[in-house]
Amino acid sequence: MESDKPFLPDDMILNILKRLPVKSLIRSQCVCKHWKNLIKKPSFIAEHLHHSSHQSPSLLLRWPSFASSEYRWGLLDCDMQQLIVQSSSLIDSLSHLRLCGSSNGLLCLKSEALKSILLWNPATREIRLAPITIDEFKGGYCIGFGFSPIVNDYKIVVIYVRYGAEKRGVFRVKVFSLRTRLWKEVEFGNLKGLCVGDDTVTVNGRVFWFGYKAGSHEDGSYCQVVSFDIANEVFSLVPMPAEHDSLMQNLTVHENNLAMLCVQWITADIYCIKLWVMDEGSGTFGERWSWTNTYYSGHCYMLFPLTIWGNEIICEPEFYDESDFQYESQPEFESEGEEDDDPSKPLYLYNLDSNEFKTFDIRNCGNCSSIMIHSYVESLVSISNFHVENP
Amino acid sequence: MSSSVEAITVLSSDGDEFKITVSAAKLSKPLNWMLEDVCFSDDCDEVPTIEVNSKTLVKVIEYCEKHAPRANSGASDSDAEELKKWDIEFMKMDVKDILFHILMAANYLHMEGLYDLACQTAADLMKGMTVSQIRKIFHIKNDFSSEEQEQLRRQHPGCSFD
Repeated sequence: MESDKPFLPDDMILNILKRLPVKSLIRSQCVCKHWKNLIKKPSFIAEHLHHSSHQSPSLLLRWPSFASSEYRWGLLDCDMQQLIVQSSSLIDSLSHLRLCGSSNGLLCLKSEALKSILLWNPATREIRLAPITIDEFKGGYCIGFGFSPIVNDYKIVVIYVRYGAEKRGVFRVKVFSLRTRLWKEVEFGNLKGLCVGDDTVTVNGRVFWFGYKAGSHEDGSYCQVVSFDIANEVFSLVPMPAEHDSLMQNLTVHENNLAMLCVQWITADIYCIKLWVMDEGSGTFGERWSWTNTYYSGHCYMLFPLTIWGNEIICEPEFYDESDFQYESQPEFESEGEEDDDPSKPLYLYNLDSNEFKTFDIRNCGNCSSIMIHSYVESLVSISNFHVENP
Repeated sequence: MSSSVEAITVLSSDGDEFKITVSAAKLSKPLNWMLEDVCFSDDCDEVPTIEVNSKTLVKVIEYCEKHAPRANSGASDSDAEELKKWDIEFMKMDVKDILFHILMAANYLHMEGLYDLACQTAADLMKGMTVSQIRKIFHIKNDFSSEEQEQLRRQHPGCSFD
């Protein structure tokens, strides 16, 4: 071997490769057969995911394209570099896709048009349709999706809810395992009489939704958090934080824990944003849950906190008319010179370290009021390993 | 030799002599062992050899000397920030020239910080490279047949090969 051309052993190559984004890894697969095999190994895919999930997360964005009825997908990294996600023709053709969970770089999407559930890895562009039929979707339902390292399996949870005048609440729960490829009925005794909200968050092998007493949703009073243990397929109910008197709340993930973003009314038209983080107790049975109030924003006008991205809370203003929208501290928001016909409302970032608000300028995303935002870590995780039907 | 020595002399694989301070040598377990050998053996004439070429060893010693004060005493956040900037400047080197040698040396000398830094630098370099550029810097021969190559191009239409 020539002295100026050192041969790098596999462990070094792998240590370099695990630091690359998926796009570069797909390119690296084409270098030689040996590298292709290294990158395709499940152990490497897991190692890469582990490394990526300890870096700053990206934001997955979806916004309506003005040119057509389709949506555009984008990825924004922590350096504010935006990347257009090449979606598949199937994804583009489905206009009413709703994101109902994401885990390890895989997205679980509900399609009203197909009356089915899609699993999609935007980074590898792999897409699969879950085997579920139209008939099963009579009545209301909400979906959750997540991974449990304990059983090394991804599961889709479908909670069927009846909203009629009588017998309201959850009446059936089915769980699909990607590993066994089977649907299974699951016990839900403690969910009787409860309705479950659409928004869901997956963290630490559990899927979470808001639960509320049937009929009480109109006044916005969620009464507890519904938790589903993916490995044991058991539901539990988590009480809301003490002294909880917020006007609205959102589930999110903060530092790998379940978190809740709340808006609290202070006085007149002054509000503040609170962040509660869950300290998890002993486990599925007899666990003790406790919420810690981690952050408390300065006083501001009404803002809806959407999600946490790194150390910032992404907020959406309530008002469409920007002239009505001011802060106590009066930060100067630069306005872009271009006049837009759309009543575009900017998003705001609240920094948890500096306690400051600033505008969140996402370029080329059209009207921010219809943008979907999701904190996201891309991965090489393959759906096909789990034998779900190809559409 | 007494234990009050402040620097030891080592030989590179090319046979050149280098001085490294005792506190800097502590960043590497193997260097530290050599140091103890030199300090406590009666056979003072022997200069230990490090299986790293001169060009690389200069850089490794430079890294050790810079990081030694922080590694030995701990440092404030501002120092850590300054050191991070220094690392970035330090790693601005020609990859064909020395980066992979640094990687091998850091591994051989059990220097975790430098190893991580070199791996990250290599990864950052690769991010903007085409397939053929990656092959070139890693000295890898393309072993795909032309049919397989065609298939890869079809499978990954957005991927830049040349």
